[in-house]
Amino acid sequence: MYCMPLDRRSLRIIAFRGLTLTFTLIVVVILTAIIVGATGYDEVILRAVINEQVRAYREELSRPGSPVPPEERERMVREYRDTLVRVYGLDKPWYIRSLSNVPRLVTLDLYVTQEEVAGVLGLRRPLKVGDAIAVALPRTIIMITLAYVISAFISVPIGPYIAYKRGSVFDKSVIVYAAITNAFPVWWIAMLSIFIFGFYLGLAPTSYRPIIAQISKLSDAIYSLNITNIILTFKDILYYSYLPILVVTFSLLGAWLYSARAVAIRVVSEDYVAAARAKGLSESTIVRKYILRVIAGPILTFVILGLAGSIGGYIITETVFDWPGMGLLYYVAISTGDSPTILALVYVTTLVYIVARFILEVLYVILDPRVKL
Amino acid sequence: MIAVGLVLILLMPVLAVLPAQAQVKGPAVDRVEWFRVNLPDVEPAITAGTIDLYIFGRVPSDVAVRLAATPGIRIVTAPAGLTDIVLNPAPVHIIKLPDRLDKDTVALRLGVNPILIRYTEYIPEERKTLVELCGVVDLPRDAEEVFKSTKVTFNPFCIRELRFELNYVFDREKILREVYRGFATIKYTHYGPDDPTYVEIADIVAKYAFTYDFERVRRRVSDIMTAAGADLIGGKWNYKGKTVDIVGIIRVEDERLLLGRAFALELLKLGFNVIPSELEFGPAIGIVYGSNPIDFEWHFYTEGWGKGVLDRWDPGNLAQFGADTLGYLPGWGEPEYWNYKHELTIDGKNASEYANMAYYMNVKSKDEWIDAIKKGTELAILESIRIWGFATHDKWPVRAEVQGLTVDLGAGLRSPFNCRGWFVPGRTDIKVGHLWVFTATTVWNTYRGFRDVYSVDPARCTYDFVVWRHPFSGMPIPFRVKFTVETAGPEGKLTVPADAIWFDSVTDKWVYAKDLGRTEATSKVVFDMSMFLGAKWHHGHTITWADLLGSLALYLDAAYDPEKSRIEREFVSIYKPGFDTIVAIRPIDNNLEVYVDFWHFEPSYIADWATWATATTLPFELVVAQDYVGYVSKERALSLTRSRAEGLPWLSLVLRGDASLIVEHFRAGRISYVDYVNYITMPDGRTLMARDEWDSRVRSIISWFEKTGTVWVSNGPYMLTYYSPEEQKLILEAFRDPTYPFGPRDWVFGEATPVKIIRIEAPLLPVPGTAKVVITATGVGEITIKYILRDPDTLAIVASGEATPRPEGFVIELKEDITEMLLPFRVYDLLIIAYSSDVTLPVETTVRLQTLPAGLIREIAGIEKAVGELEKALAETTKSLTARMDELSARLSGELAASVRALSDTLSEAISDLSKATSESIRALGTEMGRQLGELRLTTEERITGVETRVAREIDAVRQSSDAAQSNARLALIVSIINLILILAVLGLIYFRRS
Repeated sequence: MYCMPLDRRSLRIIAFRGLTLTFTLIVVVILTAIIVGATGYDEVILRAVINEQVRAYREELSRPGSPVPPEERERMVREYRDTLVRVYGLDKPWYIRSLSNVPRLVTLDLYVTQEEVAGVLGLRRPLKVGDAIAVALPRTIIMITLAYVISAFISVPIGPYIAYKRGSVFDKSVIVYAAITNAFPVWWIAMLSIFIFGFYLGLAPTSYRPIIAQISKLSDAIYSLNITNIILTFKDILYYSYLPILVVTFSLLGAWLYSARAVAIRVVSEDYVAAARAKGLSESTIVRKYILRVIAGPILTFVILGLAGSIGGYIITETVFDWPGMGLLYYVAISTGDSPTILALVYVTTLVYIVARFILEVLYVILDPRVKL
Repeated sequence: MIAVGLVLILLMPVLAVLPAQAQVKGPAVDRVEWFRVNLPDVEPAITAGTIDLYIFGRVPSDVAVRLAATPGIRIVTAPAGLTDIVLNPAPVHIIKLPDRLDKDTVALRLGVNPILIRYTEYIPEERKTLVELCGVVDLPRDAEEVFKSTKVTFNPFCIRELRFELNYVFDREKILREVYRGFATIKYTHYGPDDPTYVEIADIVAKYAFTYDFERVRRRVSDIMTAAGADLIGGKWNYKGKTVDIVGIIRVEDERLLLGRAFALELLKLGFNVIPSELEFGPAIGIVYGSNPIDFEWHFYTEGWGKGVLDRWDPGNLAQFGADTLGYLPGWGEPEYWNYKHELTIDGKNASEYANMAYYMNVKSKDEWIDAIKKGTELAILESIRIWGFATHDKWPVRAEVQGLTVDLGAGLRSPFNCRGWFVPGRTDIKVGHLWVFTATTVWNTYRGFRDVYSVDPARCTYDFVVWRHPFSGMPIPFRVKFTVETAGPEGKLTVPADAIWFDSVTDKWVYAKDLGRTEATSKVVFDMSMFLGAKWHHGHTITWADLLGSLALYLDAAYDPEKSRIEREFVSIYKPGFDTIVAIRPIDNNLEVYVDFWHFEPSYIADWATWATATTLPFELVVAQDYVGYVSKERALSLTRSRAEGLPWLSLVLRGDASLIVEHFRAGRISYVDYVNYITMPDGRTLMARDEWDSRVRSIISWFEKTGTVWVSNGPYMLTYYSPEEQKLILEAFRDPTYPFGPRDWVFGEATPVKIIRIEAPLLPVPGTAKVVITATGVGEITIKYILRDPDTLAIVASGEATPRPEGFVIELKEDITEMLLPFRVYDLLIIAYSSDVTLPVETTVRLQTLPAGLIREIAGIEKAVGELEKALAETTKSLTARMDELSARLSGELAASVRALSDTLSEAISDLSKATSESIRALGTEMGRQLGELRLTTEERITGVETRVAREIDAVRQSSDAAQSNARLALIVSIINLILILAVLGLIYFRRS
């Protein structure tokens, strides 16, 4: 593959791209903070949560027959409400409450404010959002990102080959397969798989929650360098994760194959490929040197951005497999108005995207001399 | 001999098992696996046998219907939820006018119809009248504007009369059938047939049995809106040039979606511009409970509520749904929001005042309590802040082979009785699914933990209660104690004995109560604690007074100690009011006497209240451990409030991290006997637990942690041996210690047998006059049958009361003072509500009674009497005719027989004579052969002729007598037929006359 050396100009371009991307990250986070705060989204939800808790508190205070005078009860209720208002930060204006979180995002030094957010991960408050993400992210990586990786590994070499064999039975089969997987949502395939392979055939687990304990055990085993435990827990993780990974891969693969094929198909019909063929070059050489090299850029973009995007998780699929990862964390954070978690998730996913973009930019500069022009 | 041996061999296992079974203690199964099953997985999980039952009752109706039709699966249901539509009654314009003005005067001043004015209140300090208006108005010059909505110009739900009408466009029957698929009970107000308290106020509810009547509502809403100044333009209501908008917040997670849509459609048909907003829990409550009602972010919301245990005397529904007692009326008690104020009163009191009377027992008698509930409920119906729909049935799928269940009429399968008795024949384990095992608010600590069902449900299997509610009657019943109650209430006092004690949080010592001035109390409850004392905790140590009194002292200290009470304020606010009512306790032998300032008309409710002075869940050392990490080392919060405020983890004894922290403190000796011995030292200097015992217990707790990963040790039928929040799974293992008092069948109640009405004998109702309705009913316990006589058209209640049990059945006597209020030639509803002391949820049925003027009924009675007499006469005539005919027949038969006999005799004689003559002639012929041959022939012929003549004569005689008999019979028959025709004619005449 042709590579340009990183000269000063290239470095300047890369640095500029890096700065632009960093600026984008900052803007995205600030905008999110403003959207969450200025629109009153989190405040409305938090006030409702406070009201619910205050009502429950008043109800407990007001047990039938309670001798507490009404004015004393109301004083206690007021005090309780004030505490909650203070705890949720509603005693501060939105710009202080929301924007003051932005600088602390760099180290994810924020705390989850809602029990539901911690609870969905099997944790409890007080909980740093960094810790919450650190728990959710590996789960998403195991199920979603791994499926993306597998799909990429399969589709990147096969896609161009199918394009090259355009019109063949294999090509037609892939088109049909892509159409089918595109038509059925992944969560539906997930449900079907659990019912068939789990409940009826007994070939897969029916409950996927234990994977969480196994991931914790694996990290403990790795930390203590206990090889036996590593192998045993890895086996358990494999048992609990094979069906979700297969399902997501099965669902993704069609689109990936079709996309890789689509990118390659334009190149296959180029004159220089025909010329190479006319020169009598072997098919593998043509695919490797004349097709793969040319489509490497777009495919790489597709793969890297896909992988970066995968860490956002799949809300419904995670729900179906009862596999709380980034998708569910996002959902619960938004639905409960947990602004620190929302900001942190936006920050992390944007950061991953930006890093991926930056890597691509560097690769573009290295691989493609036209970028510098 | 061989046979006897075989029988013995066959019986051996039975003989071996029987004594063992008789002695077995603890629950019915050895092991319970309890784990999370997500709702979409319930159907395949229970069908495939992955779980034996699902203890989370919110399974969707369609799934429940399918499962109910699945062989091997059954659905247990209980009315455990409520659904209503709450309306936003906020005004759009609030003003103040000078002077004290009533509604009509204000209307005159403003030039509007009084219906537009929601509420007026005189403010003495300002000498002004506050006026809340349902639509914006032009203000007079002296008016002060307090608030004017910029969002809407008119709120129809602000008008009470219109809100009330909406009860008639909520098609409950249809929704029950098509949406809930039968898994619900219709409710017209917050009390319904799903509440035992309903039987006390059914006559009020019966007045408001709303049926769907769109035409009525359309007509009345049109009148109200027009009177209020709105115009119907193009089918849409307009007020001051703007369409009248209704924002409906409709929850999407369950049946409320369809219910809300149906209601929205009706409003649309009425001419309102409905803007439905279908939302999930978070955003929905954000809008409804998180916004000021006068911001008009919403106009109606499909509310849903969960219910707890069955409660025979429950003031909670009125206090929660019809009054502001608990802050559940729009405005939600938030000081910054506009809050609903009642518009109506009965006898000078509004719904909240009545609710407070009943809720806080500010009454002197049961009758006063019922009266307050009745009046409060009627006011709530008339004000119609909530349009009530249904008591929704929670649905618990259970595999058919599961036995030993108790279907609690309030808590259903969640009742703690179930885990004590459930089992699957042939198995020693059971698998239970729940929606969650752990959430961030699933906390097991005895101070302020157990705030969600996911902790409460399994924990109740691990400890026993002092008092619990009966699953079918809702009455407090002794669980692991016996109790007696003595009361001088509501106004008298009992003397507290001199040796009664109390924990003094100032000196941190148990002291004699008299030294603190605690010398008299309203009631006294004696708990016999024999089933606790001497039995074992799960870690093998004996339950002693140190556990019961030491734990109580620590809780009292947490509530009253000045420093501790500042740390855990939530605990104080919840527990102190209860503790405040306990005057003193007196442990004597195995009894705990509790002196309490509390009165209730039901003594068992006093016993229930006195459980404030009992602390039986955890051994002393674990209550100490909670105290230590909560108040001394301050590493954990014991309540959610403190956890939030201080950013501390909320202590849970089942989480490995928290258990490990406690164990480390025990190991390091930081939680020490010396620091806590004062809590178990009596005023006379006796210490209830020795140092050795403490040390031994600490070692057991450490060992328990090493074995199970938790420090949850209790005294109930199961031990918690595994808890994994990551796996969402816990394991309970049977506690079969011989000191445990209960066996597997001791708390199995099965299913309730409600009262069954077998027969109702309902007569015509004389107007005026007396009538008697006789009801035959069966049931368990003492049966009570109440009745309500109601006009079906106006729903006006004519009479209500209780049927009297008599040998012939339950008799409702409708005397003249009642029947004289009825109109003749009408049909009235007689509602019959039956319940028993054992099953308090009522069975209802309605019979229709026909009224007639008393004179007519007398006349009918006369006719009936005449008919009776005629019937009697006819019967007698028939009888005599039959007898006559029998007699005639017998006589005829006799005569015929005699005639035939005579004829036969004559004939025989004649033949005999002929034979004789013939033989003589032959003989003469033989002797005088030849000589007299001619003479002989002549003689013979003459004789034969004579015989023939005689025979013919005899035959004629017989024929004549036979003809005579036949003629008599024919005559009798003709007479009979004529009689019958006459009788039929008379009956016909009577019939036509009655018709």
